[in-house]
Amino acid sequence: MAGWRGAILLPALKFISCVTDMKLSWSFSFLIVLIAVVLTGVILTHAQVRAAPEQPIAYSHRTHVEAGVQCLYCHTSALRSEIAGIPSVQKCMGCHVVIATDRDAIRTLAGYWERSEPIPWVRVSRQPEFVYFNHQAHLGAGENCETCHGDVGRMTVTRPVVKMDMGWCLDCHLKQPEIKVARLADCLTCHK
Amino acid sequence: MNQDEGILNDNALRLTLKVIMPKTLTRREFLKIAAGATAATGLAPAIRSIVIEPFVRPPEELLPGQATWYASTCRQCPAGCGIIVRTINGRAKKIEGNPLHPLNRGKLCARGQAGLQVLYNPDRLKNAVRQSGGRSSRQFEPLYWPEALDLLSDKIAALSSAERIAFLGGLMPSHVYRLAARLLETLGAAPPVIYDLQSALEGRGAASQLSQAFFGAPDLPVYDISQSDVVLSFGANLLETWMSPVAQSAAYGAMRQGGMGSRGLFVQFEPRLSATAASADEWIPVRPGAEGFVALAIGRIIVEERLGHVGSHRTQAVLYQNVDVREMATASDVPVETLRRLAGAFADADRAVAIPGGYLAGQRNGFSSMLAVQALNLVVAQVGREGGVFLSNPGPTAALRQNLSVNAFDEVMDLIVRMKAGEIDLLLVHGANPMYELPAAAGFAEAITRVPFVVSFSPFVDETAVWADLILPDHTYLESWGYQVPSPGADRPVVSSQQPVVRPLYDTLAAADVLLGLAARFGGKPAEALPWEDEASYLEETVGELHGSSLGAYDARTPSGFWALWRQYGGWWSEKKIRREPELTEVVQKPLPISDPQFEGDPEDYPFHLYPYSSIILSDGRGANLPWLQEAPDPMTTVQWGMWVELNPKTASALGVSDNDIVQVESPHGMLEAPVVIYPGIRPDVVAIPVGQGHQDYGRFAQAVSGSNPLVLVAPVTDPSTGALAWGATRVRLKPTGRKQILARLESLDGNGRESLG
Amino acid sequence: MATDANLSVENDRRWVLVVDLDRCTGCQACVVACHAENNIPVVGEKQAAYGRWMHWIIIQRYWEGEYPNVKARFMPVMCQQCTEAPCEPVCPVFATYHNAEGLNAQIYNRCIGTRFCGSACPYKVRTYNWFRPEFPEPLTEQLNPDVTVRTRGIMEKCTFCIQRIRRAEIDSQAEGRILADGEIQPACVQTCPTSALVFGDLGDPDSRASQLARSHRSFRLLPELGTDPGVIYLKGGETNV
Repeated sequence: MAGWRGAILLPALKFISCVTDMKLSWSFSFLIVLIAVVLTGVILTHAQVRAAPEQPIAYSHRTHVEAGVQCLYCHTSALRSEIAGIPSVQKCMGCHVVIATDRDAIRTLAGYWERSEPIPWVRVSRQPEFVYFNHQAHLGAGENCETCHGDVGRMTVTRPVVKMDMGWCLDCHLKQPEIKVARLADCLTCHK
Repeated sequence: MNQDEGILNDNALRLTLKVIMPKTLTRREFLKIAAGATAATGLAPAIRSIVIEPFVRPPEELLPGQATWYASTCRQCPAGCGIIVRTINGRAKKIEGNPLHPLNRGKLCARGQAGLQVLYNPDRLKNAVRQSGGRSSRQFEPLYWPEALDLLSDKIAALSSAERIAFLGGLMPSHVYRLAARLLETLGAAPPVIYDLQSALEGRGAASQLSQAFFGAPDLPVYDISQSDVVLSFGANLLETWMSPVAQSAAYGAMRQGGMGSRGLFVQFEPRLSATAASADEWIPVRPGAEGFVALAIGRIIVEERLGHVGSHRTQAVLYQNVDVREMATASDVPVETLRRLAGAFADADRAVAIPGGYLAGQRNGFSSMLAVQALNLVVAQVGREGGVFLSNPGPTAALRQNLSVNAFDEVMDLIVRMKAGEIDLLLVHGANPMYELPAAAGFAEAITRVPFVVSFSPFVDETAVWADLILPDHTYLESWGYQVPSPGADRPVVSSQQPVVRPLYDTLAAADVLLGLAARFGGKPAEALPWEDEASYLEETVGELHGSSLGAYDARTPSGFWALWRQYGGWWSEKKIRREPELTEVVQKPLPISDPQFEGDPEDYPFHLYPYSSIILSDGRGANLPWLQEAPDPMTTVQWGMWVELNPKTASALGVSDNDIVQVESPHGMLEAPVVIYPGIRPDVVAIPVGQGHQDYGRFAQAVSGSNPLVLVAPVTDPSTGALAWGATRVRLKPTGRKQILARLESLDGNGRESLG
Repeated sequence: MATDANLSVENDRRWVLVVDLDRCTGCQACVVACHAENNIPVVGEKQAAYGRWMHWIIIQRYWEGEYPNVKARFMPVMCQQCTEAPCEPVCPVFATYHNAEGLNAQIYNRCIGTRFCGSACPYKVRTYNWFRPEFPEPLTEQLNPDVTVRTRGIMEKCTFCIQRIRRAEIDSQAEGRILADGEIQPACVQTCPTSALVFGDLGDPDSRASQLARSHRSFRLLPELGTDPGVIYLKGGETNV
């Protein structure tokens, strides 16, 4: 990770030396470096938010959706619980004990199954601890998965499509019919 | 606990700054540094990765994010309330009362609620261990279970005679008792001896003997408080710790506000105002040990003056033949007018009940006091009537009958004598902590040193386990199987079920499985007598006898169906109310015995009566390792994390002490120091100390409290009629020490309250 | 939709708690149940002695009279969920406000720990996390996932178990039925052995809580301050009739 940061700092330092050669004051150059560094940080953060985390098995939603698998087949509890759930290893093996058994990814999967080890998936969509998102309520209100998670069915690598911050949630909440807005804009609805 | 470093004082701060920043900062430099620091934060990665692990094989009944509830039985006290436990992803989160259970109907007390901290306690033993550094070295070496069981069975086989085995049990589940009793019998050893401090303090053994004497059956009485108009409670702390507090509290609530227009009259007779007395309409501070006299006087007045509306009291006259009301009034320190007034109220009530409680049993004349109180129910014809006294239903099948009540203290002393004489080579201890729970003067500490090999089944390293050579930790109750016939019972036959609500956390083993494992190793008669493969199959078979009963609230077509419903409902009970009406024995045809209380210690040297009482928070001390309970304030003193001695205000001022002053309390048998709580609701000649603190072991939360165990003061004397420990028969003297100990009280003594919010 | 009637913020729901002092025995079951349900930390003897205990509900014990005519009375006190709450206008970041169903909301992630609200509260029912709460392993396994685990610098108080209210609403919504009176029970209400605590909707005149609130025994704490609390007490020592 240090590599690319160095690659950005070095030209920055070069820039500073040029600037100081041009006899600009120390504080001005310091200010420029400061802005550059902060901007870098912000951009990097945003990039990380949209980045696809690295998963233990190279799972492709696209392959599965194109094969006809529905969201709720694997993420079963989305309709009945606050969390959507990740399919158990048993669910994967349900098909993959016969399907595509020659592929590397499937062999890795079979390895987990044989060792009775859960697959350490890395979370893609996350909220801080003090946010209580409820899938059941949203699906019950008629929302579908793509609205928030994007067109996951076409992703080979799962990534978030939007920074799910409170402002983004409120964007949609405040557009609801007036009678519902009071509840949806109440802090206690999502923060308990 | 949380650190308490507080804020550095000014000088220290200045010095520190001087060291790290020798020259003073200009504003410019400061801003540069600040800006630089801000920039640096932009370079750190803003997102960490979080791993989420799915199930490998999801259990059928689990829905991720939603809770699964399992029904079981609480074991935090002898009552046996039904519970349901909320589990999420295999972790127990919350315990609630089982709404279907006839005993507590969805309600649960503070100790029941704290049960989760027994399961997830940080000081639990994680394996079978032997104390490799020798007894009380507190150095333990883990063992594999097969090794541990081999070790124990070898020890047993090597004994010269099976009579050299002793099994000391406490709050043991019925099925473990039965298995233990059976195993010991086939080996030729003596049956288990049961001693439990909570049972002793509530007079469980004596109450059972009272039932036997009065009603001809050892089952405990059930007092129908909810339907009563007048309740006279003699030392029965029925809203705190006595017998079945949750069921009794629910009945109390119904008595007060459940009906229309009547909230009952509740009178409490005891030397110290307990939380029960606080809820009563009147508290009568009776002289210790004289409660029976009050009951005799009231009975005599009713019979003599023909009070009430039940008709003739002629048949009961013989009971009060030898009673002189004036003498009784003087002896009990209750004025005759009060006795007369209460006698009138009691007799005139449509439904009245008199309840003999724990404190009576803890006196040397306990049994005669209890007889006198129970006789009052006869006088107002409330035996077997609504609002009066019934008998608990025994277990519905022979196999499910509740095991015998606790052994008399005499029998425990016999065991101690045998241990001291070197007659016991192997001692097994289950569900009891005798080093803590027995009066120190009983000599258990010395006796245990004479036993070459001691085995404990405790999940915690408590005071007794620390003297064990081998510890075979049992599962905690939330990880255990079992059943319990609640005693005292509910308004119908009940058997409460117990099942694990989570997988056992550690490599512990159910005591029942240990016993079955031993039986299998011995072979022969023991293996024949205990042929079950494991605890669960033993239970399934035993409980299966209820399948097909016509009384049950539910039934199933198949035995396995019944076993499933048994676990889902949380037990078995009859669909309809079945109240068991007691029959009277010939004890009611003779004059009631009148015996004076006797106390250890000369009144000149030891002017005060000691009243050690079971705390609603800690029970008899078993709750001391649970932080929620330690931090819950005591209802009467509001003290948290502490122990104290309660003094009447006059006593305190005569002694020259006030709140938080430490006094030395000394009895003929021992001595301790405790801070004072000025307690308005106690007789001037009585001092009270809550039981439960003063643990030397039992985990960090129990050991964090600086306090003493009042059992160090208690004389090991008994009531000759029952053999029960007369724990209330000790006298003490007090001496101020001049030192103070600030107790952590919820209330503020100086009236400042929380204006400053801490 | 008919089932939108479940969603309390859209109705004239006003949650109230009725405390029957004739039934309360001071047993502390509610105190422990609240700890278990709401992830309330334990502070230890030293901090408790300073008054820094974290109980959201406490049982105040009052002595009356002198020996031998002594009486003791109990009064459970928790956040009164005042309609005119003094704690709400003083928060500099609006971490506490009054929501449409009559609850005084405390939003932990917004709180910056000025403790002004605690000073303003006349009932002194707000507790402050002076230190980071410690839950020695494996006690962390017991933590309720439905309630935020607070850290140092955050004010907290009784919420009428808002997590239970929300869960009941969502469940009933999903099942397509109306919430019944008595279906929602905060932890204290559920466990109270004498049934001294009753929780319900004051906006529904037929609910048990409303009926009890109309009793001649009812009173509120410190009414002269004009806080209009959502906790109604019933005087002990008398019947309802």
